[in-house]
Amino acid sequence: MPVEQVRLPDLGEGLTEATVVRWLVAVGEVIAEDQLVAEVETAKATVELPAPYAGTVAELHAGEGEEVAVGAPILSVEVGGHPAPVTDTEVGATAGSSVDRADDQATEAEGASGNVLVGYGTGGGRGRRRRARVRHGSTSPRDTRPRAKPPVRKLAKDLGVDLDVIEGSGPDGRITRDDVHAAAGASPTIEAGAAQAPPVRREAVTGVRARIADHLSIAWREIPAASCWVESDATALLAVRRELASAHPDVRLTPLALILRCCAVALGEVPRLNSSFDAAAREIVHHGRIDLGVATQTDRGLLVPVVRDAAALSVLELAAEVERLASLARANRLPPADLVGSTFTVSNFGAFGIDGGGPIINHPEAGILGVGRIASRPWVVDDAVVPRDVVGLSLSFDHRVCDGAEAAGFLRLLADLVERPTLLLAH
Amino acid sequence: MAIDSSSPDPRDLLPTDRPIQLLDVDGTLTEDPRWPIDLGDDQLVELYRLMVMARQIDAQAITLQRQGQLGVYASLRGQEAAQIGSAFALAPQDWVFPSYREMGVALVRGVDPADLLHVFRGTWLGAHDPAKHRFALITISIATQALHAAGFAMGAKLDGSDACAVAYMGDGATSEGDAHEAFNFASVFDAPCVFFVQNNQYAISVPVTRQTKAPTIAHKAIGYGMPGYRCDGNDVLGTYAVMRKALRHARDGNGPVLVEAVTYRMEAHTTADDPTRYRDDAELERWRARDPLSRFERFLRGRGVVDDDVAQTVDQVAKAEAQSVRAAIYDAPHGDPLELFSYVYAEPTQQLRDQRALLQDELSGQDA
Repeated sequence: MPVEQVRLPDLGEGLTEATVVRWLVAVGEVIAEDQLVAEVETAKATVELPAPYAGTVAELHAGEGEEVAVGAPILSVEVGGHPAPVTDTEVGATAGSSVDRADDQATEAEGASGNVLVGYGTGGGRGRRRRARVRHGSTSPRDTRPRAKPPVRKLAKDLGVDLDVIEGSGPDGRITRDDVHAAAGASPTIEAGAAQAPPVRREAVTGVRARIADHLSIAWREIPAASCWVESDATALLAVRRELASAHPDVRLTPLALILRCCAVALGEVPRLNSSFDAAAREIVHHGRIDLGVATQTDRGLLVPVVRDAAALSVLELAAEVERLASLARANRLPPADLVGSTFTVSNFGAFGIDGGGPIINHPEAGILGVGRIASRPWVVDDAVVPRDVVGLSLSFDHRVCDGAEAAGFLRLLADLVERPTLLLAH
Repeated sequence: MAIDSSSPDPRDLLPTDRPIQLLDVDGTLTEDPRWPIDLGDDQLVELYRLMVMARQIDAQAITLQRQGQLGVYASLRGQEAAQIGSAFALAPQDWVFPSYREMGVALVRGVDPADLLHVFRGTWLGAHDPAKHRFALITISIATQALHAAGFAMGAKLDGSDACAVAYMGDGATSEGDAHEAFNFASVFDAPCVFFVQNNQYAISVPVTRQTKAPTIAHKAIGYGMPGYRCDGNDVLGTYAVMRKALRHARDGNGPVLVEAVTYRMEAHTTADDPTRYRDDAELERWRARDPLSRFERFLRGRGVVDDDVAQTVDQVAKAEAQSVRAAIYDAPHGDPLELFSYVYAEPTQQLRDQRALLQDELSGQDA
């Protein structure tokens, strides 16, 4: 019986890939035409995929969590009894050309997503449409990418030839098939080397991962950051938490909520860290309000929902708001507006069992606080070594905005508030 | 104070306090002599058949998009009553100027839905004959069709014809400059035109509360000196009665009417949209309870014109129609890409000829 390959269609105007979230069918299962077979996530939405053919599922070409390029096979169906709507050759022809397109587009975007988000933008202006690649009559020198037609690019890719190092012999310096073949013949060592190397898997950087990558690259490139850290005795803070929690059993009160409160108070005292460095204007932008970004790990990657006007919130309100934002973020339900505009960020990497680190600043903010785990440690109190619950607090700060003394003052104040939470009553 | 004595009394232009509703959410009919219905049982069943058909074909279209057979599709689910009730009130000579979500209207006008879906497949700009069905080609750019309708209506008036033009538009379209120009022009010249706005609560992700500060969209009409009617767009009979009255007003030479049908888009804006980013399940549930089709079906069953047999037959016919739409669209051949260059100018420019040659080379996989 013929086996039909079902290829992943472009599910939303200019997408280049999708991730399998969940299979709704298994190999060997008999399926009906238009039956939903998988749930896939694109850069735009999570949607259910209907099968184009009735038959028996022969193969699932991607596991859950794996990414499939538009035009690549996602499942195979053994079509029994009923004639398939399309013949094998037709499928091959259509799908073949779409694979070419996908390959070519991957080359064009050079690893970045080519997804176009209609109605939302791309969150970084990286959206690309399939655009005309032939510039007519231009004699400008090679600027961004070598000039070659899509079939030639495909050939170069297949032969492992880097178009950037070839001089084109065609009109307007265009690279021809012969140029590619010549280059492939001239560098056999590359091919031989590639043949011996152990297989590598190349993963396209797309979606949330791509946004994280771009954002952190900017921060790393632009901000001369320095880090400092301190250990603080959080025993009293934990006692306060227990007391508050028993008085308000309806709120899930975490130690983090108390530390966020300390952080908001400390930022109020050292407002210079609640600012941004505007390199273009050569100005330091002092924010009128403390909007705390809280780094949150989700299935899709790191997201930073924002707690607005954190200084105006009580510990209980902070706890509730963080809980609300985090659960929305994990459910992939957070409105984009809740993910932008923080003025200072807190990363609770202690949740992963880590004591400290040098967090990367959430550009364009002036600082980021890393909160380590709270662990019982030997601590000297009144000349005696006693077990205390100790937390590591790490601060990275933009050295353009303030000097070490000021940053240290902020971190020390924060550590003092953690050690003596009664001081919070003064605020 | 009016500009001169020919200006209308402002009190006649404002919409009713509440949307006009004849069929409540439970399917109970309360007739109103101001908004007569005049439909026989056969016509009621026909309305029902069209609504079921629209819903089934709509679901099929979404499936076809998810199979890569359509590039994109804009669902009308939830808006069946607004579309079919309003279009049912049209006279044969009237013209429809649709946006891109009007498959229900197209069905009433006898357009083959598969012909309409070719647009979303990218095979043809439109395969139906606009003149035959008095249903213009769909408009993707927002509110442009309001101008087409106003212009057509003006032409009909100058010709002395008794045709009306109806522009189907959305709540977002009322913020566009084109809508303003069309409203104003049609009203100043008493063009026989109805601007039928399906307020489905969202312009992609922008809620109607962020679209206008006007009390309702129908209130905007007074600024142009035309009446604004507001109806429950999920009530097929109420929408029909209001549209019927609006058309009579326009046909009688009194100028245009703005009708706001209050409804809800149950699906995403298009298949390329994720509505969970801007609306929640509770809101969806509230509108699900006001579903236009189940409300109408309850009414028809209560009246005794639809029973299980009729419902089943209608369902089977609609399913068969959806299947034939699928068969027509599935792997429908695309035209010759070189046709891109054929109809731009009567005499192609040298630049277009060069581009055509380049595309031809590329398609054949050869170097220039």
